[in-house]
Amino acid sequence: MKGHSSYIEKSDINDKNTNDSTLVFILKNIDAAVLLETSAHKIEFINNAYCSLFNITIPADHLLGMDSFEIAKASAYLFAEPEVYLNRLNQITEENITVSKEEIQLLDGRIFERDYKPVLIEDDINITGHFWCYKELSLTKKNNDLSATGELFYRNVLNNIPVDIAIYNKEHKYVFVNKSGIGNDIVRDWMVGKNDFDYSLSGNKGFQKALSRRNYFEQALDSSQIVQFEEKDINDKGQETCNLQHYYPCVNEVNEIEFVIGYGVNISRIRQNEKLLIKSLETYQNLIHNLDEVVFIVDQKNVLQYVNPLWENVFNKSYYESVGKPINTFFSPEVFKSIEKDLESIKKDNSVDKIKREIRIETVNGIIKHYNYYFSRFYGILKDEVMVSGYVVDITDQVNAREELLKVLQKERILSDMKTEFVNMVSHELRTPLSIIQSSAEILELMYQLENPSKETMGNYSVRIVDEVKNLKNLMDELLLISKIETDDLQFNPKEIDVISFVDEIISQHFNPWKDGRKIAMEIRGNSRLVNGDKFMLKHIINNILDNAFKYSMDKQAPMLRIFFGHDGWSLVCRDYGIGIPGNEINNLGSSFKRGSNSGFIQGTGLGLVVVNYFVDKHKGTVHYQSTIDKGTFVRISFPYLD
Amino acid sequence: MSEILVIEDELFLRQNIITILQLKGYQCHEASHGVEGIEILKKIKPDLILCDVMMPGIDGFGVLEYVKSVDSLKEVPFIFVTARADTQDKERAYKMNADNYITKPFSIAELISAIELCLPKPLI
Repeated sequence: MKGHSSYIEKSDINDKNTNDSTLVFILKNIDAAVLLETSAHKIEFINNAYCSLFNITIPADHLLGMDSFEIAKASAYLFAEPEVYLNRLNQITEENITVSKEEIQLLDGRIFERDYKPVLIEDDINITGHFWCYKELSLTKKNNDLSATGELFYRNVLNNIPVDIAIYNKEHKYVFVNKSGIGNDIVRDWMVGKNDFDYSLSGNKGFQKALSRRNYFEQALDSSQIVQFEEKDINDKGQETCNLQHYYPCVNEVNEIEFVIGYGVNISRIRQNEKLLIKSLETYQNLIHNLDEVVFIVDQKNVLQYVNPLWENVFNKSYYESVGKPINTFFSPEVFKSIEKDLESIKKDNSVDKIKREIRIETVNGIIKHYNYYFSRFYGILKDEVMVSGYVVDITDQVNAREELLKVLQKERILSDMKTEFVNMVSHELRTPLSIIQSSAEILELMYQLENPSKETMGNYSVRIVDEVKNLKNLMDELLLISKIETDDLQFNPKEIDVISFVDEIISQHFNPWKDGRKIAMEIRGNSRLVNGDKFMLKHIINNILDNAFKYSMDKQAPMLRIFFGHDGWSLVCRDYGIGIPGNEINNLGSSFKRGSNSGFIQGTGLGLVVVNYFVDKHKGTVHYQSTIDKGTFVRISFPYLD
Repeated sequence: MSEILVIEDELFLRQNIITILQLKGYQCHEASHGVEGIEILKKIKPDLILCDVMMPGIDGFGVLEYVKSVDSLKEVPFIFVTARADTQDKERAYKMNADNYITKPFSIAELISAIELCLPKPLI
């Protein structure tokens, strides 16, 4: 080659000094399509690549000497605009200007680079031919285009993923960051080639976050493993956000880290929900902790999984001493028998949702406690794992109250029975004197009809009637007194009393002498003093005791009364020499309408001592009887001084 | 002349009943309580028994039980004369096959008609 490089000299090709065959071989076999023609457009050389490019089916050797324009015309259909193609060929050959790397595109999309050079003879002026060379560009071009489209595509994809994504080089500098990571386009573009410290600096944000990220980044580099960490932030609305960040180192075939992908997932909602969940868990825990009942959970094997604080109060074992232990260790074998049965049936029997039972437990201190327990079934995290929650309520107070109530009820029932009995007795006591009165009156009438009754007979029956009426009146008085006692209408009104003169007065009124002429003897023992007592009640007591003493000792020696002043109290002792009281009946004294079986026709209501007992009781005193049949009776009534 | 056993612990009432029955032509035996009544029944077989319910020792029901347990006595008419007016006692009496149940206070007419229902009318 010599002269201007922009021309091909004919001698270059046909140089006798060059190895023709070698050159031709090269031209025939290179990738480029080559055509050499004379100035008259007769083909001097054409290679197979040219034929292939322009779809010429005739073998290259056969084309030599043919008109190149005809060939061009035949191939023009390969172009979108055949006219333009042919005109350009004409233009080039007429102007004889060197053309370099002129791009042409075929209808099928292939792109070629066209080179043209005029062939000059030695004088360098006259054109003797034209040299054409076409090289296909399509493949390289396509590849370049494709990679550009590909990057755009992936950028698009990454920008539209709602996850912060960044790609860092090994120096932790941003190679890429997506729209989710940084929304602002300018900032995003600026970020490339910068690191988090630059970003922090630009936003006046402090290096806390950048330092922390650097730390994790280095961990990822060191370990070649993905590193996860959480980043908290405050968003524009002032809400706390939380991102779960990842640094994922990407390695090449030789295990070297080429770049690191960083991506963050916004887990604020998850964290928020977790917080809510924890809060609600806390609420429920709080509820269970403060429940007034023991709560526990056992697993399928009856091992405790949870106990609330009240458990410790009942079982004397803390949470840590209890959880993980089989529940049977907390009960005596006999108590656990029923519990175990219930636990098994709640676990196995799907038709039972809840089991409730009352148990009685004796504590270590020997105190009896009553509990209500109930079980309900639920399923654990593992499928088919049946768990049982148990609730134990201390019902000792309720049970005690219930028992107390039963006792009161029973007492009430006894009282009510007693009242009924009392009414029956009163009815009986009224009916008998009434019967005597009625029958006596009717007898008198009958006697008048049948015979003329004697004065004595008439007197007998009328006395009988008057006596029974008197008896009825006494009965009424005593019933009234008892009814007053029952309704607490009688006030206990203690006053200072000179007992001796008080008793003296009563005696002189009724018993000195009694209606049969007998006189009572009175004795004083001890140092007399003033005592406290209710005058009305004491008078009733003394009258009753003395009346009984006289009544049941008719025709016998007169009774005696002794007043005894002791150290702590005083007493009245009455002794009579009468019929006495049968031994087994002494305990009945003081019960309504109970009279000695030997009282016979001696009048009495059977209520006198009931009242006496009550009045003595009001004085905090006691009554004591000692009696022998047909020998007489001692009655000792002792009173405290009631200061 | 029909013989009647009167068992009543209240002396005056017992005396009055006997006076009435005698005036009406009956012959009477008397007992002041259940035990005494049973003692008499061991010796005699009256034509009718008048008996109080509430008595010390063996009460009226106890006497009736004895009467019904003795073959020779179980057909003897048995009338309760009682101050107890509750129906439970009355039911108990009839269940034990008492023939009548008179509540105190009673009139002579009541007493006599109850007796006459069980006995042939005396000749007087």
